[in-house]
Amino acid sequence: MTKRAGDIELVKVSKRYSGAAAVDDVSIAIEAGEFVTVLGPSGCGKSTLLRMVSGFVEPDEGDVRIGGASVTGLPPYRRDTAMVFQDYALFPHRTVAQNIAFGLRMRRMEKSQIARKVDAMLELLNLAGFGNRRIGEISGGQAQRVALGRALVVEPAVLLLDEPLGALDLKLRKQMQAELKGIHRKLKLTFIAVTHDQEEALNLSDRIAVMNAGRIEQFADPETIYNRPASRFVADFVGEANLFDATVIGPGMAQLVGDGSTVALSGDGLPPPGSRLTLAVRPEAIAVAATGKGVAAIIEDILFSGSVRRIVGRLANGQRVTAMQPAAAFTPALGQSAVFAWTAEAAWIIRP
Amino acid sequence: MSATALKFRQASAGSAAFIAYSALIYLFLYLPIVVIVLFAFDAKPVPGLPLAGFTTGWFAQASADPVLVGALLTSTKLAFFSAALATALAMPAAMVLAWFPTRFKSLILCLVLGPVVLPQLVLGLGFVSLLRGAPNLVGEPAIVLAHTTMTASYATMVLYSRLLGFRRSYIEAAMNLGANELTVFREVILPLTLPALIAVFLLAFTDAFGEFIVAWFVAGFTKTLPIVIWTSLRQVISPKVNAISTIIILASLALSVLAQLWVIRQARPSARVGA
Repeated sequence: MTKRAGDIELVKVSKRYSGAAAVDDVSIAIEAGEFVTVLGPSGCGKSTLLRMVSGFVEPDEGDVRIGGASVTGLPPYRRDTAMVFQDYALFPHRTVAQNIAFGLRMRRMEKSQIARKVDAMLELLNLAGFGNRRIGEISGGQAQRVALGRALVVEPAVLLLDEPLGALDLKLRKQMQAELKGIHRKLKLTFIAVTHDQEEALNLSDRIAVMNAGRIEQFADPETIYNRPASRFVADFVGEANLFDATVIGPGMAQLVGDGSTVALSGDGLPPPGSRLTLAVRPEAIAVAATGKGVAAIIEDILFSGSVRRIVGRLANGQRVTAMQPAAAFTPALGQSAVFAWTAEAAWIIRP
Repeated sequence: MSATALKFRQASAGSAAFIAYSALIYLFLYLPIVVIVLFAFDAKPVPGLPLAGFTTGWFAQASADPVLVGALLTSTKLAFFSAALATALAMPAAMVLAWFPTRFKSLILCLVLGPVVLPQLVLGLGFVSLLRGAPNLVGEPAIVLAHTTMTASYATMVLYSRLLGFRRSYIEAAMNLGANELTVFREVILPLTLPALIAVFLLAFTDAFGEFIVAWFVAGFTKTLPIVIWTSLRQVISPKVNAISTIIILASLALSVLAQLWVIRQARPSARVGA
């Protein structure tokens, strides 16, 4: 089989369902061989986006291109994509091997060749010996691998994964994440996954597209997404973040709105005094002390979870602030006042 | 007496009452059928109590009666065509209703059910008026068409409710792997809905086989079994009719038991593990 370029391009695609936009004027370019995760809360349009690539949903406007060629209007069976469904959708009336062979049979491949490829795929997925099992007789993790194998065996230009690990328990999910990553490294296909699990997205992807309300808020590598979120939504959705509205009061200085505490800012090209901005501070970057420089808060809640302790305080303006520190560090008492402090570098500035 | 023994006695009294109650219900349901079978083996030429003696002669006479046997074959043939047509019509209709966004769906479902809720006399009259326009169809074609109309209606409803539970992702998975619409139907939809299709076919078959009123309106000179039995009732009830009814009862019982067994076997995928 000839190798095809697996780059994907969505050009200004939109899809409306009875007036409401599920996907709203989205443009995104994914390079061949990339592992991209579309991350967002349920109902943000990420599944619709995936189904536009596979051909189950036609965009109202815009163009879908695979390998440089427009596939808009082509039925799913004429597109070079393969999908792993959220419920796996393994055919219950066929065996494991027959499920994996399905796509090859549709491509009218020779029987002996199909058998060879199916065996190789069972081997790759650690399913050797399971070929004759019925779908009802395998575990959830095995079903997940069969679904993956059924899609991979046709050597698609793009592999689409719709919440691929959502139905597995935590331990199995971790294990399958590693396997998925390994398979991607081995096959070098374009993978596009959709998930609402930010940890899965951070672990798996080369790049993450964070989606909200039908739009892509940020498309970048996991470290950029985590450390330099482009919007309040991204900062809040990916990982945990304390978001503070602040006003610039001087060079490198800002005042929290409604609180009066001043905090230091870092970085070049800060907006002029008087401008409003949002600061995103990760809980693990905040240190809690009895006294000192920082933002004063009344301690509301302390949660001990092994190696770390979460400390939740309430600022004078009523906003909650969460710090996460090593369990051995200073622990304030409930109801007491304490100081939450962070360095200028830890406060990521989001401009409105 | 110990408490457990008392409890046991109460329980067994309760279950005895339950058994008696169930027996009465079954007696009520099956007594008419039992009577038919009973008189089929009784020697008295005019069925009635007391019984006169055991015989299998009526079966021999019934199978030698060309009118009865001919009617049985006609009914079987016509019911087969009606059931096949009804199932073939109902399947695409049910697929559209269950899987495609349809405007005015509840109205359409009501209209589909029309032929079932209409009194059969009205339906029969309607067919008579219709057939004035196509007198050549009177007889076997008209019976097949009429029974198809009646059975396709609820066949659609039964299949519709079964298809609602069908996982759409099976279809999408097949399409995604390169199967076009026809292949999806052949490879995925048909095998997974086969038990339902067979059940619907058998339901339609039995209904068309026994339907009398509408058939009577459109039959012309065609003699289906219900028509022959009805006609013979107006003279003297011959135990031959009991004999042929007994055969039909046993055949349909056997058929439904076989169908049930087959469905159970299909539903148990582990039938060939370890092979």
